[in-house]
Formats: sequence, C-alpha cells, structure tokens
Amino acid sequence: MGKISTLVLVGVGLAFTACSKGGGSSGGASTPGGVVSLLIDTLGVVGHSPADDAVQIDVDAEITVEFDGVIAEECLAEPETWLRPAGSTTSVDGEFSTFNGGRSIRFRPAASLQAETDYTFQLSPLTCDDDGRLLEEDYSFTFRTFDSTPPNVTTATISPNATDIPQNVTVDVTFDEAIGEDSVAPETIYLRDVFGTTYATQTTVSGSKVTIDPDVLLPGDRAFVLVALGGNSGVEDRAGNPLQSSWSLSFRTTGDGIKPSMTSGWPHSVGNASPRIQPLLTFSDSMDPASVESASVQFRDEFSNVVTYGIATSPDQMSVRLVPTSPLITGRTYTINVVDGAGAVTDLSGNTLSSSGLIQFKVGTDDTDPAVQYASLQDGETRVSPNAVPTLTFDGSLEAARISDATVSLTDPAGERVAATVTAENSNARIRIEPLNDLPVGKTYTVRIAGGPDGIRDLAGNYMAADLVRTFTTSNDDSLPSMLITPINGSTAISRDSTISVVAHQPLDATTVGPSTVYLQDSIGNVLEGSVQLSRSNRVIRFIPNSLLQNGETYTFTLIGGKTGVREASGNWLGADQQSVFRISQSTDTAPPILDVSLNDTGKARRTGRVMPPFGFELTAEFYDPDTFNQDPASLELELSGPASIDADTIFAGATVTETTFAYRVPEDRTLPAGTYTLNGRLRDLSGNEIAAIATTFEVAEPSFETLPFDRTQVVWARFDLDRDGNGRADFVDDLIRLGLNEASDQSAINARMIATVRDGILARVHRLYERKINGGRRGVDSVPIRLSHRQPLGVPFMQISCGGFDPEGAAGRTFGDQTSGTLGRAFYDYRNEIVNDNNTGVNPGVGVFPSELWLFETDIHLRVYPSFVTTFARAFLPLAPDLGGTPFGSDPVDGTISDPSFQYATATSAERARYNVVYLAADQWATAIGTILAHEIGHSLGLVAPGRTTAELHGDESLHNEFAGVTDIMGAAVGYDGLVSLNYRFRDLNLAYLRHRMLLK
Amino acid sequence: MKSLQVLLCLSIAAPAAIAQQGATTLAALTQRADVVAQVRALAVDVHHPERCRAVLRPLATLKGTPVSQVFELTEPPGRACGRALFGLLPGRSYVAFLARDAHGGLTLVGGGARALVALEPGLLQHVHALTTAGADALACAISGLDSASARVRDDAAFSLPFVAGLTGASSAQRIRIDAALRDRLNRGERTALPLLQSATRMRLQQSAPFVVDAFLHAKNRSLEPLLCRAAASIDPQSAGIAVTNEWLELAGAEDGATATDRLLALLEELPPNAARAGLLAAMQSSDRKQRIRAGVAWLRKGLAPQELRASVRGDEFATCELCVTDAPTFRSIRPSQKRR
Repeated sequence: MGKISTLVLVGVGLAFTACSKGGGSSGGASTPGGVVSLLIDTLGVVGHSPADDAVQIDVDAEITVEFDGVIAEECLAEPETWLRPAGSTTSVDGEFSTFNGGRSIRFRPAASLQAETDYTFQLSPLTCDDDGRLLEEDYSFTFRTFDSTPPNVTTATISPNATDIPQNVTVDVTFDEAIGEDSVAPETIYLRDVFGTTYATQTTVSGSKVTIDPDVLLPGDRAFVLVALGGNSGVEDRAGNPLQSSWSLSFRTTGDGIKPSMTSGWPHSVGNASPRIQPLLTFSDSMDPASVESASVQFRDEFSNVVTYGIATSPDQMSVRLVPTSPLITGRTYTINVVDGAGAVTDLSGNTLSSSGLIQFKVGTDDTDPAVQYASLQDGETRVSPNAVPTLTFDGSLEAARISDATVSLTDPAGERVAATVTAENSNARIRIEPLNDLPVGKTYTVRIAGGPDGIRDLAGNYMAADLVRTFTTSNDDSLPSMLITPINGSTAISRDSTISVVAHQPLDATTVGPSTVYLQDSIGNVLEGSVQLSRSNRVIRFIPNSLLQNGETYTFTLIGGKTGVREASGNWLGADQQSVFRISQSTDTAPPILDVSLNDTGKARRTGRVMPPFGFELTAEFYDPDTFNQDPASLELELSGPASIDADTIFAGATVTETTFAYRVPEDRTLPAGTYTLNGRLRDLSGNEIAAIATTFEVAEPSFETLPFDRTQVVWARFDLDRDGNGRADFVDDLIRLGLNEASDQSAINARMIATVRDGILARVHRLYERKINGGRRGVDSVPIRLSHRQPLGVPFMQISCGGFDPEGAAGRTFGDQTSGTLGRAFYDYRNEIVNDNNTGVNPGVGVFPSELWLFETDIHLRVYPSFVTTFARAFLPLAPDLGGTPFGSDPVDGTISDPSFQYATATSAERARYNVVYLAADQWATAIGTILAHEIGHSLGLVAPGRTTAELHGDESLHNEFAGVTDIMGAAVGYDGLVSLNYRFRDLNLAYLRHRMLLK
Repeated sequence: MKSLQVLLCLSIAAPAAIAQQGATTLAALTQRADVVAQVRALAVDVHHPERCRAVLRPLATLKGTPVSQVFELTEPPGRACGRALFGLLPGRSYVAFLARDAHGGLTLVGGGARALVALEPGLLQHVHALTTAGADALACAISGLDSASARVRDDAAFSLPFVAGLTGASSAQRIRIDAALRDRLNRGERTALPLLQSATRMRLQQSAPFVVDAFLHAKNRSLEPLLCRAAASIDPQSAGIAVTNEWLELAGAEDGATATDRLLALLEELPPNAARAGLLAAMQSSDRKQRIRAGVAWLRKGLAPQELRASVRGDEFATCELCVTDAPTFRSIRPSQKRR
C-alpha cells in the first residue's frame, strides 16, 4: 500500500460519523463471517405514516418512517430531508428522533401543522444506516391535514350577470381548494335556462378547477344560471366537506339571428338501405327537437305514403335521427324532405332552416346487424403480448365514417383511454386498434365498439343492438421477443449444406414452434421440407432442410409473428413476421469461424492472470465467420470447469446473445469456491465447421477490502461553491459568466436557476457515466456504487472535488485571450480507493476540475479560425458569451420566461423558442463536457488507472491513464470539445469490471 | 476496511490529470515555450518526501536563448499524469519545452509530462521544423502525419484542424490529409477525430464518400455522432444522394426491411435541399416511427408542409405537427426540473 496507507496514523479530531464507527470488522458490506460482500446494498424504506396521499391527518400528527437498518442519526440533518407544505421551499421546524431500536425515525413538528394543507415529506438520498448503506435516491410522500372547512368558489371565467356570452361558452369555476371528483355530477353542477330547461354538460375536475362545457350551442339571447349545489348532497372538497350553500352564476348569451342549414343527410342515394334504417340529418347548429315533426321533416315512400317516426338527437343536438315506427318496405324508394320557411325545423334560438334539404334512398333486403366474424383476441384472453394490436373482423363492410375514436375505444383497468390509432381495413370490414405504445404488463384492458344507432353500422345502416365489449389481460413480461436468425438477412455467401438457426432472448412456448410458424421458402414461394427442432432451454430453433439447398438460389426463412406465431413462454409474440432472405453461394464453406472467449469482455491485451470474485463476473465470447459471416450463435458452448462447474446448456440458458457476442453473468446462486478454473468454448458455423477457442484459465478468490474499491457506496461532494481565486464569487459561477450562461450583475432567481440547471446536469452526466440514473439512483446490477451530491453529506464519509475556475497551477489572473495551462482537471490518484475521503479541493498541488481552461482553449481556437470556420463551441456560445459579442442569459427580455419552471415550449412564441434552444443547448453541451471530465478525475481517486499489466494493476500507462485508450474511453486524454459533447463515453472493460466488483486485484 | 484520510495537510497521494491533447501538441508547446532544448537526464530523485527532482544537461537549444548549463526541474512528489519527472531515465535524451519563471529559472510549459518528450526517431526533425523561423505550420503538420514517431503523428493530427492556411491547402496536401483520415478511421484511432474536423473545415470533397460510407456501415460506432456531422457537412448534396439511394435499395428489398436509424440521423443533419429526397423516401417506410421521424425532420427544416401532408397519412401528419412543438431533448440537463 505504500505511502497512502501510512497516512492513517494520527487522529486530528475529525468528526467521525456513526456510519464510520460501524466500519470495523463488521463494517461496510461484510458478512458475519468477516468476508466482504461483493454487492453493495441500499437502505430500504419499510413503511411510513401518514400513508401516501392520506387525507384528514391530524395537525399534531408525527411523521414516522421505518427502515430496514439502524439509521445514523447525523444524516437526519441532511438539508434534503424535510417536511414542507406542498410547493413551498420553506421547511417545517421540528425535531427528529429514532425509536424501534434505531430502525424508525420520528419527525415531531415544533408547532401544529396548518389545517387543510397538503404537505410533502422528503428523505435525502444520503440518508444512511450505521453500515453506511444509503437510500441513494430521494424518497417522498404527501398527505393533507385535517380539513373541516367547506370549499368556496373564488372565481369563474364569466362575471355574474354578464351579457353577450358566446353560445359555445365553456365556464371554469375555481374553488379555494381541490374538489372531490366523485362529488361532481349532473345533480350537483347543472346549467338551466330561464324556462327551467336543464342543459347537459361535460364537467371535468382538475384540482380546484371545475370546467363546465355544455353539450349544445346554447340558445341565443337567453338567460342562464349555472349552479353548484351545496349541502350534504352537493359538491365536496377532497376531504368530504360539502359546499356550505349552493352557488350560482347568471349570464345571458349573445343574440343569434343566423339561420341553420342542413349540412348532410344520410342515407342519401344509398341503393340497398336496411329496412330498419334510421336516417340521420346533420345541421350547422344545435336544433330544437320539438321542431322536428312530420310537417317540417316529411318522410314518405314512392307512393307518397307517410312514414311515421320518432326522433333521437346527438348530445350536441346537431344531428337528428329519424326512427321509423315500423320497418320500411324492401324495394321501395323513400324521400325525406326537410322544408324551409314557416313551419321548418329551428335551432335552439328559434331560427328556421335557411334552405330545404332532400334525401332519397331505396330499401334493400339486408336487415342483419353487423357481427364479429373473427377477433384477433378472444374475450377474456390472457398472456397477451404487450405489443398486441387488437383487430375485429365483421361479416361485411362497415361505414368508414363511423369507425373512429368516437365509436371504438381501448381502456385500461382504471377506465382511462389508451392512446391508440383506430383504422379500418379490408374494405372497412376490419377494425384495427393500434396502441401508440406497448401496453403495461399484467393488466386487463377493454375494447369497446359502440353499438346502437350512434355506433358502428354496416353499409345498409344496420347496427349492433348493444356495445361490443371484449377484455384481455397482458402477460407479466415487459420485454418483447427478440429473435436472432442466422443466416442474417441479406447474406449472400451461404453454403448449400447450411441449416437455419434462431436464438430467442427468452425461452419459447414449445407449442407455438412448428412447421406452420417456422418455414423456409424458395424464390418462387415453395415451402421446403425440413424438420423444426427446439432446444437449449427452448431458446434455440433449428430448421434442417431435408435436402441440400440450390446453388445461386435465394431463400426466405420466416418466423410467424402475432398471436398465432412463435411466442415466448410468457405469451409475448413478435409484432410482425420476422424473415431472413439469403442467397446460396456457389462454393461450399469449409472454413471454421473465429471464436474468442474472455471474462468481462476484456480485450486480449489485458487478460493475463485475472482473478475473479466468486460470482457476478461475466463469461463472454466474440465470434464471426470471416468469409461468409455464417457463424451460428445457437451452437455456442461455453463450459466452466474447476472446483465447481457450470455446463454449456445452463450457461446458454442464462446468456445474452447477439450476432457476434455472448455474455453470461455468474449469478449469486452459483457462487464459485476459490480455485483455478478453465473456460472452454466451441462454436460452429451453419455448415457445421467447428472451432474450439483456446481455453481460458483464471483464478477465483474470496474478495477482501484490499482487493475491491468499495465497501460501501462512495459518496462524492462536488464542490461548486469554492472561490479559490478569491474574487468573492464561486469559481463555478465565474465560469458561467464567462460563457454567458449567467449575467454578471444579475443576482436574481434567473441566475440561480441556471446555476442549478448546469450543476445538476453535470452531476447527471457523471451518474450516467457510472451507469446510474440521472438522479443518482441505481439503474440495476451494472451501476457502480458511487453517489454524487452538491451539498456536504452529513452522515457518511465522502470524497470532495472542486469544480470550477482555472487550474491553480496555471498563471494567475488569466482572462479571455490568454493561454490555457493545458490541463482540464487533476485529482489525487488513490490506489484501490484506499482512502474514502480524498480531498481534491487544494491549490498546491492544484486539484479539481478546471472548466475555464477548456474555455480558454476553445476561445483561443475560435479567435484563430473565425469567421472562416465556426467551431462547435463557437456555434453554441457566440450568441451568449460576452467576450464573443453575445447576449448573456439573463439579459434578453424573454430569459425570465423561458427559465421559469412553468414555461411551456409548445405554446411559446417563436422568439422564446429560439432563445430557449440557444441557451439550453449551450448549457447542455457544457454540462456534458464538464461532467465527463469530472467522471474522469473521480476515476483517478477511485484507483483508476493502476499502471502496469500484472494482476495487481489495470493496464494503465505511466500517466495513470488507460494504455492505448480508445476515443470514447473515459480514462483517456481528452480529445477536444467536439468529442466531449458528442461522443458516447464509457469506462473500458477492465476499469468497469474493477468498479463493478467483477474482478479482483491481487 | 477503507481508510479515512486524517491528515489533510500532507499531499501524499499524487494527483493524476487530464490534459487536453489539442492544447499540448508539439506545435502548441513550441509556440508557448521560451526555450526548446534537447536534454539528457543526469539524475532523478523521486524519493524525496517533498518534491521530485531531476537534473538535466542541455545538448542543443532548438528555440530561444541557449541553455548552456546543467539545470534542475522539480515538481511535487509521487507519480501522476500531470507530473513529468517520475518516469525519467538517467542517461536518456528528451526534448524539453521550457518556460522561464519570474526569477529566470526554467519550468516545464503547462501540460507537465507532455512537455518533456522522450527522444525517438522523427521527433527531433519535426521539432526542428516547428522551431525554424517562418515555419509553415500547415506543411509541418502534414509532414508529421506520416512520421515514424507516434507522438509526432498524433500531435500532427491534433494540431491540424485549426492550423492557419488549412483551407488553402494544395491538392497534394489534401490528398495526404485524405489518406491519413482513411487510415486512422480504418484503424479506429483517436486521431481520426481531429482529421475529421480538418476534413469538415476544408470541405475535403475527396473524403466525402468515404466518410458517408464509414458512418453508414462501420461496425465500430464510437465516432458515430461525429461521423454523422462530418458526413453532413463536407458535401451535403452527395451525402443526401447516398442516403436516398441506400434507402430506396433497402425499401426495394424483397423482405421490405426498413432502413437503419443511421440514415435518418444523417438526413436530420443535412440542410433542407440535400435532405429533401431522402426524407420523402423515408416517409414511405413501413415503420410508423420512422415515417413520423422523417416528417418531423421535414417540418423542422422548413420544407413545405403541404408536400408532407400529401406524403403521409392524415393522423401521422397531425402527429408530426405536434412533435415539432416538442422541446429539444438534452443529454445532461433538465431545465424544467423543480429545484430544491
């Protein structure tokens, strides 16, 4: 360990936290036997009180949370742990304490909470237990305190007694608190005119706002009253308190002297109408049903016989349906004459029709309701693939205009519509409902096709008596099938003795694999004879032709998709047929493929003498057929032998397979005992040529704290607050001012929001590069156990690293146009992360990340090449940076608008959008670049990259960077601004294996 | 068990740094250095707890006031990437890029280890050329692309994109740059990146087909974003034609396969007139998402909406119009996120 370990000699009275006290023999992630665990666990919340979204909580209630570990009390002072009124930035004063053996915390507010108020309780992601386990993501829940106050109306979008209100008015009524949705119904909120007629409305609730939208165009020049009923049967708030007394709003609509017109009549010119047809008249205004009668709408047959009818209207009363009292007579021609003038139909305002209308049709013999002939999903079907596209095929063509969102719906278990495209196919006999996104798994959905006269209908006008309702339940598997077919599509050099193989990424349902779902055809469509075999834990399909394929011929191999095709054991199916088209070569393939077997996908130059932990590492392979690209992934066999063994089929069953790669992670339930292991591999191509890889020998050893970089999640405090140049302002803010992302004289919220945006963007970038979520939480088993914060952690030891300003080892007082030091960042190299609290904030040596050095370099290049060439940096910052003549953020009149959290891009002006794009694309580039550099520097303090090629090192070079680093290698030298903002950086194989505890350093 | 660093006043663990190669090329160091000298290491002391020290004898001065006497260089102790002295071998020769400090002493120019370069074939001649008065920076960089010295080759590439006179390069020079770009791209080397930047700046037409092909078909996707941008910038018209032809070829295949996202990505980068034909072809894709993506790109480029309406289904046109009003997505920042 050398110099670093000798440091730990003298205590200088640092305030060690409870977490570190626990770090002795049982500290970090160690098991009772003293052996360190490879897996760094997170702290978990078991339960809390109040429950999420609870209402009527006592104003003197305490908040309690139970964890699965003993909490380190110091961490309860984290600034990101608080209780606040919803939407407020002011925390409630109070005291934390622990109970339940330290596994539960209690927050007791110093004073009673406000009544009738929504509160949010949040726990910091750095909340930790005595073993150093962190929450790693913030955790919050909301509740509402006791509410005994009835709601009151505060405003409405119409003034009381307003006049000249449009006929198509929509009224928003706002209350002083959120309204209970269940209390809003036609009985509790209604609209009436002066004559006492009630008008139906569509009423929706959104928090404290209720929107009332009448179904019809209201009559002109008429007085109305809108009522919200009070009392026990009336409108209530979320807590159940009713409106104390009814509220009403009177208004008068504007005059309406416009005569309505008939815009369409159906079934005009139809030659085979159903005897049970109900003609439909559509108008340009809401019509008065009472004005529709035999004198104003004359319905007669060709012999002038009067047809008696009743009427029904659409909710908006713009369509009137005539319902004959008895069936019409086959073979006769009927006429409907809609008269104008005196006695004509009128709109609700009393205006008569502007001109007459005429419909004529002939009745045929078809009086049969449309019926479903075939449905792609049966009623009640389960194990439905999330990518299902329900279709219903009827026994005849339907009227296309009636196939739409209005008559066809797909709803989720809560009754909410699923966004889907409804289309008609097959001469409009089939309805197709295509969800825009895959459906969530494990849920029951409902398809509803509207029946009745307003629903779908056939060309004769027949309709279903009732709605057609079908339900289905999606499978429990949210990953859709992925099939790797070999030969791959487009291959042109396939040998005639080839078989065809398919590797599925999950086991298949054996009953769905057979000649009807898996077949091979020649170029004229003939299906070839052959056998279909399913093997290797039902993940491999092999098609073996009965005879040799023909030289020069093109073949098509098909896997049938959809419900009737190949399906996974979970039920999921391919969205469409999957095919591979390939051509047979004139020659026979006798050359074997190439196979390279490794651990953790480590490059050849870095494999020697690696030591693996007992589980968690990967057995990997790369392969291809150099002449024909004819390699057969389905044939790959990796076998592990040693003190324990894992056979080839077990490995294949749990592997991820692509055209040229294979990976299997040794699971914890296959923990390997220490010792020497051998990994063998064999692969064939489709012609049967086989290759055996050179055996890989390696050691498995028990992990220890010395061989792993982490014994708990490493916390890093990124110091954006430091002012190392002593100008009275944080160096990070100085950077933003130079770039034009902050305005020097502006100390307003605008500046603060941008500082937070860029700062959080940098942290998000680092988290991503360490395979974590942008909020710092884990994405899964591949996440590196590291968590950044821009605030000082209180309950855990932490690394610090400065981020901002110039290189302290460069010349002092540099400004625009001066030379860069050439160094973008510097951090203490900490071999195997021996020290968990590295301090990378000093100035001698100068450590940290130096964004302004990048700024100096890029502005220098810009000055040299502009205007003949505009660099990527210049394109982003010319409009902003003051030294480049830009307008800094905060100076433009729209900057306040676009930086406000409520800003809506979709409805913004073009000037606002343009400025938004300029400002935030530049900020994003900068955050991406600096985040990449920060990830690199932190990497040094985690032990990257140990120079040398022995099992104790990580193939670093003299400069402590990766030897022969690739262009996207995080632990390589920076290749420039373009690369930093555009490329997809990653840690190299050995670096990542080290960080993920998938290899051990001796 | 991991340790807590108790004593903070002693910087024992040595810092490792990320240097920017573009800022520390041989050309940049030559320009910034007060003195460039060939030196031999006489002694190196790396064990002193407070500093690392090297004693150097000057052999020849290539730039600046000649250094005649043996001199010392020091830096904080321990090995690190920002530190140059730890790996020095006594008896070996180096080229040192030096600055004079306020007291007249010599220090390495910023970049640390990059400013002290072990001698290897080709290095001295190249540095000589750089230090010659009136040196043609472009000619030096181009000649360095084929050097026997790895450092010279890499630095020549890194210095090329922003060297004066690049856009006025002769045909012979363009041929050499094109050849170097192809070679480095084929090998997947880091220096392919600055050569791409150079080709973009020069609008190096002879590289255009190769770059487009590399973007569309290369298996190694590390440089994909930059290849896309370069392919769209060097010769947009020919890139547009290449994309359209590729799309039509894929669409005409018997299996009706849809084209890759790479084609769409390149169409999105191209200027409107170059992207037009390719976008129209893409709107005929059997993949709805690709049709929508092509339609959105069409509208964002300011091409005629009515032409789009005629090319896609009604509901898809409406979707394209909606998507155009979507805010841009960002790699790292979340501007609308509530702050705590």
